[in-house]
Amino acid sequence: MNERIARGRLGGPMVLLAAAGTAIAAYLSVVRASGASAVCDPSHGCDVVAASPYAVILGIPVAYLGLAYSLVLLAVTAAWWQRADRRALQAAWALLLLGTLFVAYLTFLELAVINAVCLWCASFAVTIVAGLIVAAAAIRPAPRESS
Amino acid sequence: MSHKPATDAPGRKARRAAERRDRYDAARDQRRARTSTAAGGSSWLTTRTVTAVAIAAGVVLVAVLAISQLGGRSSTTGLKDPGLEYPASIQDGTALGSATAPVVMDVWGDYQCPVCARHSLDVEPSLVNRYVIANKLRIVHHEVDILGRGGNESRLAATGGYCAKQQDRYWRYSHGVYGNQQGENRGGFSRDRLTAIAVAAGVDEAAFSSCLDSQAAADAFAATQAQGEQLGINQTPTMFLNGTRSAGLKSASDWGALVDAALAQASASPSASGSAAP
Repeated sequence: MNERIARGRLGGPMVLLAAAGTAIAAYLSVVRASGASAVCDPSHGCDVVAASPYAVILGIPVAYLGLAYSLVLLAVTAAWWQRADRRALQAAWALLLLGTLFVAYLTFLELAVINAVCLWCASFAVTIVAGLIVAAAAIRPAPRESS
Repeated sequence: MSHKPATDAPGRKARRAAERRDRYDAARDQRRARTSTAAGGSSWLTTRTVTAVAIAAGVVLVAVLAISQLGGRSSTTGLKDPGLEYPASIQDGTALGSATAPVVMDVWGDYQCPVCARHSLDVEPSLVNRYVIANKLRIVHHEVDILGRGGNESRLAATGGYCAKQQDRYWRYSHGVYGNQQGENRGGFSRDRLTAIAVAAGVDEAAFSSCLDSQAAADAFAATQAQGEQLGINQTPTMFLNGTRSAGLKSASDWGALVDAALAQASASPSASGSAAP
């Protein structure tokens, strides 16, 4: 009766980080769609970044791409957490590697080309990098118990 | 209290089972990787392979984007796109920001002046980011002919600014001109090249061309030039921050300190705020 279902190691923190990233991307998508300014952005960096030509890739706003990416990441991390399916962990790992490279490029654009920093985008990048670190810990074999 | 309740035992068992399975999966991956390396097998879905593929895909993705976005800053016409685009909501002709902003910075420049280009492309965006969007600062540009030395490049570029303004494309045009300097009076701002810069900024070519020849554009340039002479503008860039004159290049942080001081002064004596300039 009290039997627990086996869950993927570190799946909880991974899902939490993916959910935080999804929430940030969803908020930035709403801001983009409504044309409003982002809140809690004292330097108004998000307005400048969103107005730059780098905020759109192939006609699609980067905020929407970020939301789509985050939803997929959330799904695979949830699959790892719930079912301990290693393929889901590998998919999450691959997505987080891709995401880390991509947010590194976007951060470079903000600092070196656009000359403005969007705190919401930086927060999103932090969730991706933190997720990568947690996934790196999860993808390694669990240490053997000394008994 | 070091003993865990007995009811946790099944949970601990399940966790151990999960860990065992996890170790088994990881070991299987490693076995498969070894087998695949040794025998050229088809067990491709190992962590190492996934990592390599993801990194390769990420590097390719970023490289393609960087080439298309940053390489694209140099277009097929040989023109560079500085990649600056201020929000439409803050653009107001040759000005940026609210007309009721407590601090006004008038910038007198010459499109052939390289220091003006550095101010416009490297310093101003930070001021826009920090102050203009927050409705604390209004920046107003004025282009004059200081470096033309009898040629028409400074004048023609400045006249182009007036014409781009007629189509609400002043700032894109201005950044395009500053970003495409080719030395003073060396043909960099010929009529054809200025037209190409204007078109790249989204200006209608026919209307721009017709405007360049118009009396209204000539009069507008002459009026700005006369105003500059009246203010004794003999070097560019020359700025007036709420009427206080300053010439040459300053860093964004130096300007930030001056704008902060002007804001403090404006809030202390609101009647003294706004443009005393030009």
